[in-house]
Amino acid sequence: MTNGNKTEQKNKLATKWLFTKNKSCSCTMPGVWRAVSFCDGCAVIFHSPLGCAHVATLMDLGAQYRIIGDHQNENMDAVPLISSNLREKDSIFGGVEKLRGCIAHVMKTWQPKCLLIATSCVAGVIGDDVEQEAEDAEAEYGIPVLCVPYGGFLGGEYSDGYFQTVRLIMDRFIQPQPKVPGRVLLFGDQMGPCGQYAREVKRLLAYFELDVKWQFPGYVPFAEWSELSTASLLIPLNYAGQTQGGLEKTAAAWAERFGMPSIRDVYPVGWQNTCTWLRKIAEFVKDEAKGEDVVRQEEERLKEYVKTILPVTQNKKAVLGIGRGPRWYNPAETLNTMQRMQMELSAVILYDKLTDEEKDTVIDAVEDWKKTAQLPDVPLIADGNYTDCLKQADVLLTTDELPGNPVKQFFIPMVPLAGTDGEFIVMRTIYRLLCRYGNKGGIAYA
Amino acid sequence: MHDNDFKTSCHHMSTCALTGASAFFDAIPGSFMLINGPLWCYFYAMKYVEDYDASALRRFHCTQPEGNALVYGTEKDLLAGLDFVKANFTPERVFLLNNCSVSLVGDDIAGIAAKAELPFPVYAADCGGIAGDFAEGYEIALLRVIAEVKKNAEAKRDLADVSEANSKNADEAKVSENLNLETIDCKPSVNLLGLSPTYFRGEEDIKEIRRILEMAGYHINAIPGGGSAWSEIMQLPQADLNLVLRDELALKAAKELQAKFGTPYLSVGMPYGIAGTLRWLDAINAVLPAKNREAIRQEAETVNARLQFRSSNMQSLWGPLWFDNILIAAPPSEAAGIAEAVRGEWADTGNLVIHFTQDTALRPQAATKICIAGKDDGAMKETFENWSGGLVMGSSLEASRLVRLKKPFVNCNIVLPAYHEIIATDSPLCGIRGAAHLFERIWNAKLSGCMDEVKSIR
Repeated sequence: MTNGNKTEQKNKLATKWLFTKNKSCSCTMPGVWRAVSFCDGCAVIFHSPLGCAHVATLMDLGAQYRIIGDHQNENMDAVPLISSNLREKDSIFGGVEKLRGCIAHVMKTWQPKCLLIATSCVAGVIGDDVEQEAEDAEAEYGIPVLCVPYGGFLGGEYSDGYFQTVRLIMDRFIQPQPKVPGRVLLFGDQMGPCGQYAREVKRLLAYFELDVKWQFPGYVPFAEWSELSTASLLIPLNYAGQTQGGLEKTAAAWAERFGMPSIRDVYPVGWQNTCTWLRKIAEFVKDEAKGEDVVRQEEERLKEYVKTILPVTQNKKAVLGIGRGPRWYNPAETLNTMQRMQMELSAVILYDKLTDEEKDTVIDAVEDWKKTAQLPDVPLIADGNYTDCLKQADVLLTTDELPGNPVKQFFIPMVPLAGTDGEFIVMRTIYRLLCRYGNKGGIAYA
Repeated sequence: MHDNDFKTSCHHMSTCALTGASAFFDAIPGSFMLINGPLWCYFYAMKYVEDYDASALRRFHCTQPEGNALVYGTEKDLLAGLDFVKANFTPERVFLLNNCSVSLVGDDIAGIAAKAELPFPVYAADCGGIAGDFAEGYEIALLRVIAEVKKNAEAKRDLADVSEANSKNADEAKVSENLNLETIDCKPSVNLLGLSPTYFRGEEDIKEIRRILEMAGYHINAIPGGGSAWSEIMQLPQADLNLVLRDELALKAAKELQAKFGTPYLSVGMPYGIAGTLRWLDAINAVLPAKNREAIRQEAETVNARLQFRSSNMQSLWGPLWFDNILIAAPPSEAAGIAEAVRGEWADTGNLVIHFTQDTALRPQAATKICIAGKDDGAMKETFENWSGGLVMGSSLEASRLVRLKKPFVNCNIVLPAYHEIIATDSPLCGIRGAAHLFERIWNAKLSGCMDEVKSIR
């Protein structure tokens, strides 16, 4: 309706989004919710305006439909999420009464076995003593009431809320105990048990007769929390990048406290890492020959697949577009995949939305890769003049959509795709994009 | 304290006031929205609007204040945000929207904006989540714009007074003015209040309502929040009547317009179904007579005959359009009208349950049972848990609940979020075209349900 108006005339930026992510860009509350969202027996209260609960619900809804779109049959129901509905008048008189009433309402309507309370930026500014309320509620109703009083975005990011919830659960409900051989605990979310990461890890672990019993947090009923430390192996669903530092740190704390071995220094994201990870698993089960055999089998699968797509992918000109900082993205994996498909990397372009510091780090990472791959002549464009190189490209592999640009675009996934199947999915999507007949516009998602 | 003070996200699906205000302002061409708040809130509001308006991507920005700004004020962030807009865009105006925590800081937003010496006007509004839900944010935005309408009208009046006193040809000027009025007055004129293209098929509904009213002989003066230009909105007082399509969005604004400019209003709701649309038009006609109502009656008759014919044919093959249960989950304006249309004009059922996602005094007779989100959470939970099959008219949220509970159902989205449907055609839900569209979708829902059952048996 409003396309083409004057507002857009002066626009010089090419990528889809205007913002940069150099400041706090998320909120702690949805992290709290996600950490228990499928833990039967729990309920979550956001001490917040109602819109905050709506955001978390939409995130969950999006995840559910993504799972359905991936032809998976999700079989869990989310636990209740209730907003205390803070309003303007509560900013004057305080929102504690409102929270107390909300807790009573939740107890009456859902009878949870464990209650979690997350606080919003509004509650943070008002200064409500929510921890005291949680303590009082615990005494009144006789159930555990955990509180994450991080004040929405004021207390950190999504991951801070998520990992603080994990720490509270660890401290309160889990004790060291004898291990059950072969029983594995997956640690982290990555779209849950139906997500590609968890499915692929389960498939790969099955080679070694390791059985995934739980995925924690988020997907274990409250009644089973106390059994979690019976697992004999902890597998964090991690990937390289600082945002996941919390997962590694929390997994390390878990492993130490409950005496549970874990595979933490490498993750099955990208083919090289997957091979190393498989060898680590083999080391754990003390069958290194088996590990080599699995790597061979998986590599064979990859080679067989690549053979089928090479007639389309070989020598195709590809440009890599990067607008995602090193905190979220390592270009080496994408570049390796391009090489496997025998595509020709014609340029790497950096978008304006990267900060100068991010640009420097990304340039270093790309230069390192060029040295290793012995491709010193690939141009790296950071001045915005990339129109010509895109005109000549068969495909743009990009972290950001370039709206209205006729080049075929592949969106580099935000959530990493794991293992051999992850490589298949990325290659299949690029292959299908290269097969595309006619200009259909838009961007292809893996 | 009442139970309905609390909002359960699994039943209550209204977005926050920041989103409602953003949706309203975005619908005024040439506007830029600067959200004074964290990226999280900005992104959520912008994304909601962007789902229907792709240009929103480049018409929204945020100040991203750090935590300290909530103690010391957001002036620095705000000025940086305004500089960004100035450097990169040439908007006709900027709407500055405070998120909920920033609105508690108490910054003098207008004063700060004045310091920035901008080449465009800036209008500020406190519309964070503590102001309420989507409807309340929309209402704040509408009232904010009405305040500008009033200022504009006063400025014009002052100018006219000066001009009249100074003009030697005052009499001629008056004649000219009267002539203009006569031209406009040849059709009764209405403003449409409470419409937004961000609703499910909202843009299509706006077009259909406009089409019906124009065909009936009304002049549409302005649709604030529904696509009207700023200059058109400034002419709001010129209408003979304000029609309130959604009370929750615009009733307060209609009362304000009546108080400020003496324009009467009629709370008329949304027109659903063919008979429902005719009743809706009759209600408007009773207050402000239409000149060509017959044209709409004839169109309604033709379309109705076609639907009856199609229905008979389909019934001879597939049996009656019967559902064991019908659940309608939507805000009051949608749910009440659609419930009457579905049960009164097309489908049969022994049990029609309405889940109103906002509190309302409406009690449609078509409903067997009515639940209100926040008030009847227990009963709403039971609706899902005891569901034995039938038609669900709501959003992807109800579909999500029933999928997770492994309950059988067929569905037809009538509100957002609609994650499991693509909307690419221009069919509305309301009015006569909307009636045919809904009729078609309900029938197709039944047929796909029958086909899915057979496929799953194999």
